[in-house]
Amino acid sequence: MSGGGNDVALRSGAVARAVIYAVLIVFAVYYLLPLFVMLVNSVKPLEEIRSGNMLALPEVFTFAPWVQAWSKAQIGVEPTGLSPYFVNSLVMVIPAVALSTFLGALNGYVLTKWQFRGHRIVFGLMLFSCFIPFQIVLIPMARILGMLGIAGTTWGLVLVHVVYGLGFTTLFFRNYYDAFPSELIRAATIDGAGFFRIFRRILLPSSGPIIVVTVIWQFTNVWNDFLFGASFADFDSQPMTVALNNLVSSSTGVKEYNVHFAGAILAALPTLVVYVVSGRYFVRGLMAGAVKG
Amino acid sequence: MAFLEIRDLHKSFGEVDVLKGIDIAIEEGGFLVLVGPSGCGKSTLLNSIAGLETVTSGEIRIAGRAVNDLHPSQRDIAMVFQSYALYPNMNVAENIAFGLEMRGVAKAEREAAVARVAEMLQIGPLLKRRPGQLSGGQRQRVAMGRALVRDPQVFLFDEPLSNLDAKLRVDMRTEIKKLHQTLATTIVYVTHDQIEAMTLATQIAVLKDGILQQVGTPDQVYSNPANIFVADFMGSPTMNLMPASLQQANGTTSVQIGAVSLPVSEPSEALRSHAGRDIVFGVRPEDVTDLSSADRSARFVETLECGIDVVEPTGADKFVVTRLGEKEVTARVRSSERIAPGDRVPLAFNMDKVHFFDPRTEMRIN
Ligand SMILES: Nc1ncnc2c1ncn2[C@@H]1O[C@H](COP(=O)(O)OP(=O)(O)O)[C@@H](O)[C@H]1O
Ligand SMILES: [Mg+2]
Repeated sequence: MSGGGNDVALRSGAVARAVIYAVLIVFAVYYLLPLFVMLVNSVKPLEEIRSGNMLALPEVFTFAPWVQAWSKAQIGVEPTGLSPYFVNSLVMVIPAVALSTFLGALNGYVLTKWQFRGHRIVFGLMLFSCFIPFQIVLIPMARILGMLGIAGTTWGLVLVHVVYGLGFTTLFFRNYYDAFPSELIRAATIDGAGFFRIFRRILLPSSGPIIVVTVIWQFTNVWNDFLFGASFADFDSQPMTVALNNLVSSSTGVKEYNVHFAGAILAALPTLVVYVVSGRYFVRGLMAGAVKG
Repeated sequence: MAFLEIRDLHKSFGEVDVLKGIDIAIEEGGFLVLVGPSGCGKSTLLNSIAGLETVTSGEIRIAGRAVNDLHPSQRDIAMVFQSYALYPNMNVAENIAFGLEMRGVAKAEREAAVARVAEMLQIGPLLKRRPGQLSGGQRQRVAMGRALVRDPQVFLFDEPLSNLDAKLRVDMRTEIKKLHQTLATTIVYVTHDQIEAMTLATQIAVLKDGILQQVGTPDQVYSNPANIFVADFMGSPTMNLMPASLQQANGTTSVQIGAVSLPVSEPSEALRSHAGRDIVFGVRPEDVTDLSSADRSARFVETLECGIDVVEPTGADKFVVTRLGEKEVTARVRSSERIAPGDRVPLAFNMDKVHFFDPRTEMRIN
């Protein structure tokens, strides 16, 4: 009797498992399909795409669309390919991410360990900035960039992204440092360390997980940003996303889908790399914040 | 002149007054224990001495120097925290040397200092480990090492043993006492454990709700508690305290507890002035004993036949609970006494060591 019950339980467990895996596989395929289509069609000649099935593997394998997208395609007026814009993006994203992360860490440190009168209000306002839509800041930001004389430059874009990202990075670090024992700060104070030395020697070395979270978050957002790039960049500072748009929507000649696919993958590559390299830490960092904060 | 002196110290957090006029002085080489229930302001007082909290008013002097406006690192103090507060990203040696490094001590000198402290605390084999790889007791030692290496004028300890298990706590207590006897450095030590206070202190300061209740040697605080709070807080098991009234008839003074009357020997002037009024009568369990354990040097011992409700053997002694009036009274008897609940046995009250308090002011009547 009880043996039969066990059998049923075992079998129903196996069934449940099979169903779960089936659902998971369906979702995995669903999410991987676009990437598959892009990859497959980026290595086909254009005729093959036109005449054939989008899901079919290439009959003729060619890297020409990749070369075209990277260094030859007409973008705007120049046949430069995406490569200069890729560099523009990197030159803009790296300082933007580094600065906003560093300032966020500093803000979090001050808001938790060097609290001043009104620190709650300051934090509340910073949090509020996370909910301000992009569109609202466009015109004031254009005015400020103009006044500072950095409109249309890479540094102008860096400033925009640092300012816009600061709310998020501050939130991340504040919650992380809130759980950091204040007695450590007190001990270091008695040991004779000052504001920055405590930050550099005691807090930063313990901030690995939250730095990873913040860097991924900021890198993805800044790299993928289109609106600020389209609004505030000149030709010589345009980021990858804007260039990709120009490539895809250029009105002259035939639509070279294979080149577009290759370009889109190139544009997505850095964020993919960042996720694959540090995704594990990302999850760990989020959990740490969630459990302790 | 006192080595560490605190004068009329007030501290408030916004609206809340946490310390309400503290006056304490301690001699050089003294061991001052601040004791009191949780939340009474002990840590706040210690942090004020350290300079981690700014005081609202009052003065703190260390070695004759007013330190109110000095940064914690310039007060020549070292502190051991309840959580140990070891820097998690540094190994033990780096933890101990950090304070020296911040003060610009040369590397070779730092290493020598760390080696000396490691030898003293027997933590040499741990020097390369991270705090996360240490047991509670080892962390405690490292935290002490970090304070010792600086050779300060005053050590501040904030409940350093409260995170250790009972056995280790007793061992470390002895070790701290030894350390103090060797180094003879002035120590201010915070605890909520009155046994720690009794065993370690040369001076005890009892604190309640930010007000000093009594400052004195362990013996003064234990034998002459200034008020009901101190009487109740110090000692384990706690002092028997019961409502009573003071009677005077035919030139003898006696204390009336329910139906029982105990004559008071040589009542003081102050006590006699309470005749006919309600008082609180107190006697410690060790002063209520079986007849053969009664203190032979006591001049006045009263014997009462008492019914026993509960017997609690502790190994060394037995505590028995009886009743006087409405209140339970704990007495200490030899563990060899054969007493069972329900028995009636004679108990000896050492009337030299009884205490009287005014129920209105709660102060001791001397
Ligand atoms: N930073 C602070 N802000 C407001 N109140 C505080 C702060 N620190 C301590 N207190 C209050 O002061 C009182 C004494 O605290 P503390 O000195 O830590 O007590 P103890 O160490 O004796 O347990 C407590 O009621 C506590 O809530
Ligand atoms: Mg405390």
